[in-house]
Amino acid sequence: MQEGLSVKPEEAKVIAITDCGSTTTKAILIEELDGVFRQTCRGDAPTTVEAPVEDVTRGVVSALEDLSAMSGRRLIDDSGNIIRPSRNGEGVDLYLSTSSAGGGLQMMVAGVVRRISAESAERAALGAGAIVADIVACDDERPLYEQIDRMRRLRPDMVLLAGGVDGGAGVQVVEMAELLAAADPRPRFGKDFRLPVIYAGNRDIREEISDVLKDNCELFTVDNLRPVIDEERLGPARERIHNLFLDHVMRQAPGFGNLVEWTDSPVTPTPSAVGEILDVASQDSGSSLLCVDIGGATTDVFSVVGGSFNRTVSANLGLSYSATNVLIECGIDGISRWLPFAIDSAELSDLVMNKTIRPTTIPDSPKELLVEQALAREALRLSFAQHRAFATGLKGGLTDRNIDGAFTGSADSGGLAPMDLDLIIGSGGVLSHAPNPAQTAAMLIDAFLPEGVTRLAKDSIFMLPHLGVLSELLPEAALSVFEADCLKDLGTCVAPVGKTRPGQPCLEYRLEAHGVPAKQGSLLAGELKVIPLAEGETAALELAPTRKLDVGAGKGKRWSESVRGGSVGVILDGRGRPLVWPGNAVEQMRDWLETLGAMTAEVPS
Amino acid sequence: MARTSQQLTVSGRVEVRRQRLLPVHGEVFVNKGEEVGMNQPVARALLPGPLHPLNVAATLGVSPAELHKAMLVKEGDNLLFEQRIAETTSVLGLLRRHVSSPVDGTVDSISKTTGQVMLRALPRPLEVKAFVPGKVMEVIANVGVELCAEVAQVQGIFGIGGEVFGPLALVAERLGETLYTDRITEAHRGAIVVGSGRVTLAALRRMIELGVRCVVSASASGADLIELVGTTLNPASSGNEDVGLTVVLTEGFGNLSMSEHTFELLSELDGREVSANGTTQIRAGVLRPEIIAPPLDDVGPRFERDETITTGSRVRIIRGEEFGKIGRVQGIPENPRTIASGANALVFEIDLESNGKTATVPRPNVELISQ
Repeated sequence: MQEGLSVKPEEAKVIAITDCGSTTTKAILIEELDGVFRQTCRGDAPTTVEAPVEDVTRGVVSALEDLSAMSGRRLIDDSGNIIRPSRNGEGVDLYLSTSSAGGGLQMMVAGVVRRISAESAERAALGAGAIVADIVACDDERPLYEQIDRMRRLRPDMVLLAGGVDGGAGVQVVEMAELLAAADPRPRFGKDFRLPVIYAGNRDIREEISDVLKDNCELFTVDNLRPVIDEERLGPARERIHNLFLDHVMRQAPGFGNLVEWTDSPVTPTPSAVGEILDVASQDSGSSLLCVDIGGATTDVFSVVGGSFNRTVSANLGLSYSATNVLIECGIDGISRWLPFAIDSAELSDLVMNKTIRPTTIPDSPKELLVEQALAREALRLSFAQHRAFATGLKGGLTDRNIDGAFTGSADSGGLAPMDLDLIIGSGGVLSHAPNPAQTAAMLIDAFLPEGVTRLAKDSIFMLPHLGVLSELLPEAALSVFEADCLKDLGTCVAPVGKTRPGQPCLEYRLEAHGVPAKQGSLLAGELKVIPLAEGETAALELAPTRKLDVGAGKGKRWSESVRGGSVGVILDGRGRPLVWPGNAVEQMRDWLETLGAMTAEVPS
Repeated sequence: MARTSQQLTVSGRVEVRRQRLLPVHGEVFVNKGEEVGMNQPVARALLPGPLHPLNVAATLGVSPAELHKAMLVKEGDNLLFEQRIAETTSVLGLLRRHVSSPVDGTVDSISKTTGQVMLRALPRPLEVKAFVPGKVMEVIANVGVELCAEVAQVQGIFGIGGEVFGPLALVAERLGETLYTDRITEAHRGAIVVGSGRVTLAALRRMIELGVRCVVSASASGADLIELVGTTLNPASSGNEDVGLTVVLTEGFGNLSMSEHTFELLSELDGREVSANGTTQIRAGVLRPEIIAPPLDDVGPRFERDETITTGSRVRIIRGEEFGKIGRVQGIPENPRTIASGANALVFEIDLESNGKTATVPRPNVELISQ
């Protein structure tokens, strides 16, 4: 369907989009209503990439039929085809899809130096939406034979090999290629299919690399990721990864050949699509943002700060399959400090480990819910720490990390500081479906410790991937739905940073919403306050921090701007950074949660 | 009607089909139609030895292009441990440098570009046993077999350690009893020991000391298992732990009692030869730990796998305060209900057998009991 669209994208009025996830295929319907694009309906069905069905399009048809049932709009004809273009209340003008089914795109990356070429290769792979199964490098701490063994055991969809600057020495890169050839890793899909290897290293040794790898692999060569040491060019590698994903990997997966034919634009890996919409939204608003998607096994963190895009996947941090890893990583005390009740350490570890072995069960008591939310804070905190370590920028001059393909080079971001973030978006069941939005806000604030003034929102039904693939054709429509239907505002967090003592004044504030008397007062260090400001409302906020504290304009400098409300409101957080628990931790936590309105009834004392 | 994915098999007679495959090509010993015992080897292969890369040119101080002059062996040659593989001599013949093989094995490759020599250690033999006693339905040439068998099977919820075989020894006298060290004796060496409640860390250590092959118990403290295995313990994917004991938990972590049905079946298997495996994989093709034995004669109706829960289904609660309680589904509300945590979830209304009360339980928190 990709060639010869039934309707030009700019004339489309009704659009169906699916995201084929590992377990569920989620469909949304987007329609133009009074000149504005809105998400009007959703449907879902189990993904059918695994046995016994082994055809992803069956799940897609079921999800679209569910969408038909919910919307009253017939989308599939009697032959099982998507009705296009829309007419007489039937069908759609465009059908698009993303996919992470069958494990998504799994890659292995290899470079010479872990913190230079291998890290650039990792960034290119993550930016293209891949799960990086392993990273090998000449300075890897593991012995070489262990690295080779690991390469052999992995069954990646493709390998990205980088290293060396153009015109520089190439022996170590060839050595790495020799290790790869010796390991002879096999691809995940297709018995007769040779493993694709993308070479994005020193261009002067392409022939040697080809000599080493030509018998074992399908070799593709692109421009060097690091043509000079202080420049990173991810675009060509990322584009090649996308093309190989579509042309090789997806066509090997059950039913994907048909799905690719059905869609009106290329099927995009789910995380890559999320990156697309965040990048478009950041460019449109000129703001820096952070988005987290916490799942059962992994936590994805995306950031666009100062035009620089980064994505990390914390493969062992999640709330079901990886719950025990979070416990091991942060320890019992790391979790219990977030609980408003005392709990025996053995009971806490048993609760967490039982979630791992019965991953689909859900908390059915306030106690279990709060344990899960405490675990989420730690998984998010650790994922963010990994993300910040990764997003520190190159050791030197130029980066080129925009996701939109305009790879022209831009100033190095120099790292990700919480004060730079204008918006934090939470996604994933524990955040999107918390019984109370104040609990979502509490988890985001405690885990990310935003500084200054930061808008907080959640992704209502995880439609970021859908909007990402839509943004490639209709960015304005995608942005319209992003703001109107995707993001559910929780409120705005105000957190002064700097040296202070508990009980000392932090700042004076004045909040004035249209038609309502202004609310003003002062915030003390250690104090948490909430000023209600409803979702959809804005208000003028004036902040006057004390001499040693900063809310974004500099120490002691006044700050004034319009802020958004949300289901929680404006949260004034004087607890300081990092958080400290004065006195009784349980009482303190209970007090914080009660202030935010995040405390559930019947919590054990 | 509602679908459930929570179901573990506990049956005195159930048909299972198993592929028993080698990870690399090898030799299959048995023929189609042949009956095999659970401990009988069915296939064997030689796993390629690990590669040992050596940068010989750099070590000897010669250029990669000149390396061939220093090499004493060529690609494909067999090697002995510490055998000299390359050497150089100075102009006066006084200074000799050499490189020796760190392994018994072969020369895999010699690179003229990098000066790197790849040595491959000797292959390691690997044997695959039948594990289930049954009939060979299919022989997959050089790879393995597919077996079909009627067996008694108890699937657990989590385990550690790999496949073991031995006589089953019941050490619990009643349901829910904690398994302490005093129940373990020299007589249990080589046995598959069965308890009915929590197993203590001290008892696990005692069993390792005495050479018990496997312990089947209802539960253990998660912290105790981390203490035993170390922080590499991964409940989502286990089986490769090397603590000298396979562990199969039937209920989970904490102080939980074994389900009555499981305990009854294991009691009937007391004294019989069984196979056990602790391997657990929670995602990407779920694997649960299990005990397999020849089938029991008198087991009532045949086990049929049925993955839907309907009104009247007998179910067991697997999370929360009511963990382990059994009841019958009396209502399946179509719309979500607000549960005690404050969240909205689809639920079952269950009449509990223990007290006759009706419990409202989130649908993911029950498992179907099929018998």
